[in-house]
Amino acid sequence: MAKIISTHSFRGGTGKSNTTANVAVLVARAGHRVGVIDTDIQSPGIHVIFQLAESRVERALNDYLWGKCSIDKAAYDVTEASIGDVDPDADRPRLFLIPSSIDVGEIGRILKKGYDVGKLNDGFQRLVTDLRLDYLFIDTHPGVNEETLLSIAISDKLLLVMRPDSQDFQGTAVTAELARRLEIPEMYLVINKVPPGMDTAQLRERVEATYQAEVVAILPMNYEIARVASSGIFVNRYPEHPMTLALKQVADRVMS
Amino acid sequence: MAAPLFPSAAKCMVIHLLDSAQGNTLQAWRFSNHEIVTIGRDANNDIVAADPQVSRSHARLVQQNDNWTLFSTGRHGTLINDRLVTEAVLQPQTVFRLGASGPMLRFDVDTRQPHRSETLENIDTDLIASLAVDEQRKQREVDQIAENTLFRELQERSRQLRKSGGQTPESS
Ligand SMILES: Nc1ncnc2c1ncn2[C@@H]1O[C@H](COP(=O)(O)OP(=O)(O)OP(=O)(O)O)[C@@H](O)[C@H]1O
Ligand SMILES: [Mg+2]
Repeated sequence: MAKIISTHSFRGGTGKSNTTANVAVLVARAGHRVGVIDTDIQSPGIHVIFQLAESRVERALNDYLWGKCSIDKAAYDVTEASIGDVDPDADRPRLFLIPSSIDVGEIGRILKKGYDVGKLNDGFQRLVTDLRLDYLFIDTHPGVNEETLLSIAISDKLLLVMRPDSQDFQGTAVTAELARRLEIPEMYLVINKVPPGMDTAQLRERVEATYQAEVVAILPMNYEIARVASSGIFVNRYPEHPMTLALKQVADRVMS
Repeated sequence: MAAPLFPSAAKCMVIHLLDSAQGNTLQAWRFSNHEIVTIGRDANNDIVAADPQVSRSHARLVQQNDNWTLFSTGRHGTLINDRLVTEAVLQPQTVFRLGASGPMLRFDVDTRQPHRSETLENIDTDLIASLAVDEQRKQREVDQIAENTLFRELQERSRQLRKSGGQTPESS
């Protein structure tokens, strides 16, 4: 049975998209069919990490939400670019990306008119069946909104990404509590952009005590990652980097 | 005779993985008693690079006399100065690339010890202690959202879903 994993953070720029993309690649590489959907309609971005050329995107999640196409028409097979050397006929591994439109007019339209969140939910389910997914990753817009809550309500696992600062600390507590009330079966914390020299053992202890949830990865501030993000997937390029090893821990939790 | 404390310079070879934009080292591998070093995507290589541009067995570096020679063995090719090479004697500081836009590596012969680049000054050691949650404020914010009808509906849906053992019922 397919597992649905959503990634959230209270504030923007915590590293949700990077974490989601890299973990999805690791899970796919372990021999699975994986989908990644960008529900950050306001500020889409994960397609950049997957190097999905904007010119290749004819249909996006928006078109599905407007009823212009079925959801599988907005799914792009990015296996070759993100895993490489896979027999095109092979069933596994496979990685599909469902991007949101980057058209500014389109973004404005959907924000103004809104859309049926139930339709988004149907879309998640259709993706799982039509693409025969083993895992579906949902990347989200920061903060709490309808999509956030919906994705938590239907997820098997939740990854909360936060930075070690007091604003993220407070905001994450709200999301974690809401997720508990939605009876999320498993919730994990990823602490990102940890400055050098910070005592990670102490940090882990503090965060786990505060949220009563497991910290699955503590990722350092890494000044190369922004550049790498626009030229491929970090874990592919730097397989032995401590950051990659930490992301593997997250992938293991997702698959366990 | 006792083994030398440091292997001789000629035998100590270093491969740096470069950040392609800046040329600084992201990772380095040091080999002191090797005559052959293999590079590729397979886990059994001495240097493993799991990039789609890298072949399973991409290249082999062989020590001959006092030189290291690179042999490109993979189908994605190896480039030096933007030119494909099948065999090349490596001079210290030579940069080579695995695949046309894959990872860049620099060959070096070195005896220096690695050093830490970060300074540990200016770190706010009280930062962790200051991380705290204002419980009252949290409760207030959570209640505000949880009172919403939409939230109640989602709660109901998620309860059914968890009860039915995973698969979401088709919403109507
Ligand atoms: N550990 C890290 N060290 C340094 N920079 C990082 C790290 N993780 C992510 N970044 C950078 O921070 C920025 C935000 O990352 P990312 O897009 O993954 O976050 P996000 O939470 O998805 O953001 P948004 O809320 O805008 O969707 C990017 O430029 C990314 O390259
Ligand atoms: Mg994002």
